Amino acid sequence: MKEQILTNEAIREFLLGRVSEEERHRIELIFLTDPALKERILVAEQQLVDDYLDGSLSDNDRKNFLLQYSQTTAQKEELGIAQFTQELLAKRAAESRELVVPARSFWRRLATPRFLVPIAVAAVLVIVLGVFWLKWQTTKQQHLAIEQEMAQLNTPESIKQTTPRVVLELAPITSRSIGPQSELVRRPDLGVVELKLRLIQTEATRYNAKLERVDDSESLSVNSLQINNNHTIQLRVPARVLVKGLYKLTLTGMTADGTTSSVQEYQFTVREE
Amino acid sequence: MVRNLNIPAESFNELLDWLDPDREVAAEKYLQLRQGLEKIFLWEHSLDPEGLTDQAIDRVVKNIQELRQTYTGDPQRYFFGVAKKLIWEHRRFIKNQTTLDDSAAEKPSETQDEILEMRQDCLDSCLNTLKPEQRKLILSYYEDTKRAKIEHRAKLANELGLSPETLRVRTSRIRVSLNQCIKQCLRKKQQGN
Repeated sequence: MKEQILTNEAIREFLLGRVSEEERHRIELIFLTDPALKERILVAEQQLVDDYLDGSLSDNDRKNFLLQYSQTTAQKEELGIAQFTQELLAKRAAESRELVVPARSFWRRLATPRFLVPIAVAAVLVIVLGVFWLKWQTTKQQHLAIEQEMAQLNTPESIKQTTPRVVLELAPITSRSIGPQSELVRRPDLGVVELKLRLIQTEATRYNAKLERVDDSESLSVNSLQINNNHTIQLRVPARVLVKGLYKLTLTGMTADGTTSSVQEYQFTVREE
Repeated sequence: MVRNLNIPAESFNELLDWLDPDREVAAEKYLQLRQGLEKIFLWEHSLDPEGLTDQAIDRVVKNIQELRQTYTGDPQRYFFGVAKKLIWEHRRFIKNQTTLDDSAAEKPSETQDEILEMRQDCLDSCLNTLKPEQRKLILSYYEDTKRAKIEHRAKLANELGLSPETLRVRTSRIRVSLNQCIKQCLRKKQQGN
C-alpha cells in the first residue's frame, strides 16, 4: 500500500482501531519506513486527539478512541500531555493577548467622541492648510516659469532674431501726460507682445522692468534690458499673461556701478477682443 | 542524540553506519526510528513503549555485525519485524496477567506540582524552539475556547488566506513537533531527577 492510496478516512479508521490485523500491520510498516506517510498519520492522530479533547467526537468514535488511547498508563500519560499542552497553549495565548490589550484600549480610547472631535478638526485643518500650501507652491512655480520665459524672450539674441506681430509703443508718464491711454487688444493668437518703451533720460546702461496689473498684488520682473539706438527699450511679454485690466510698468535705470539712476513709469490697458 | 547506555559505543556506531553511511542522516534516521517504534508499541497497548523500543534496538544491535553482512533490505523493515515479535511476546505476557491495569508499574517519584512545573517549563522551552511565525500561529490557533474557538479559527484561516482544513493540518503539524519536543524534554528532566 502506498501513501497516495491511503485516504484520510482509512488513516482515521486505523487510528480508531477499526481495521483488520493485516491492514494494521501494513500501515504500521509503512509508518516506520515512509516519512511522508508517517507525518500524515501523526497529523491525523493529533487532529483526532484534539477532537476528543474538544468533545467533538461522535459517541462511537469516542468509545473507539478511548479503547485505543486510554488503556495503558503510557497511553493515559500521552493523552494527559496532549490535554495539558492544549490547555497551557490556550493559557499562553491569553497571556500574550493580555500583553497587547493596553495598546488596543489606547486606540479605543482615541475613538471616543472626547478625542474624536478634536482629531477630526485637526485633520480638516491639516488638509485645508495642505491644499493652500500646495496651491501657493504651484502659483509660485508658475510665476517663476513665466519670469524665466520672459528673461529668455528679452535676451539681446532673442530680440534680434524675432519680430513680434504686435508692438505697443508706450511713453513714460509725466505730470504733463495727456491724451488717450495706450491700449492692447488681446486675441487668442497673439503669441508675444512687444512693449516699446520710450526713454526720457538715458544715462543708465541697463534697465530693470517691473510689470504689474493695478488690481493685482503680483508683479513680473525682467532685468538687464538694454537700450536701443533710438532711445527705446524693448520688453517682450507672452500675451497669455496679460489679462483684461490696467497695467503699470516701472522701468528702473541702473548705471555701470550698480546704482539706480532713474525711475520711469508707463501705463497701458488690456481689453478682450 | 539519546543512546541506550546498554549498547556499547562501537556497536552503536555500527548501527548508525548500517542505517546510513552519512553520520548526520543516520542519526536523524535513528531518532525517527525510535519515535516510530515507540508510537507503534503505544498503539499496540504496550505497558512500556520506551522500554520495548530499547529492547528492540538491543536485539538488533546484538546481531549487527552479522546483519550488515547478510541482510540486504531496508534496516527499518528489519526493526519492524523485531518490534512485531516483541509485541507478540508482550501480548503473551499480558495474557498471563489478570488485568491490563499496570498501576503496579514503576511510578514517577515527582509530586503533582513538580510534574506541572516540569510540563510548563518544557512547553515554554519547546515553544521557544519554534520559528516565530509558527509560535504566533499555534498561540493564535488555541486562543479561544469552546464555541468562540470555531469562529476564531475560521477568522484566522481567512486572515491567512487558508482553508480551515489547511490551517488545521498546519497547526497539527506544529503540535506534533511540539509534542515530540515536550516528551523528550520531560524524559530528560525525569532522568535528571
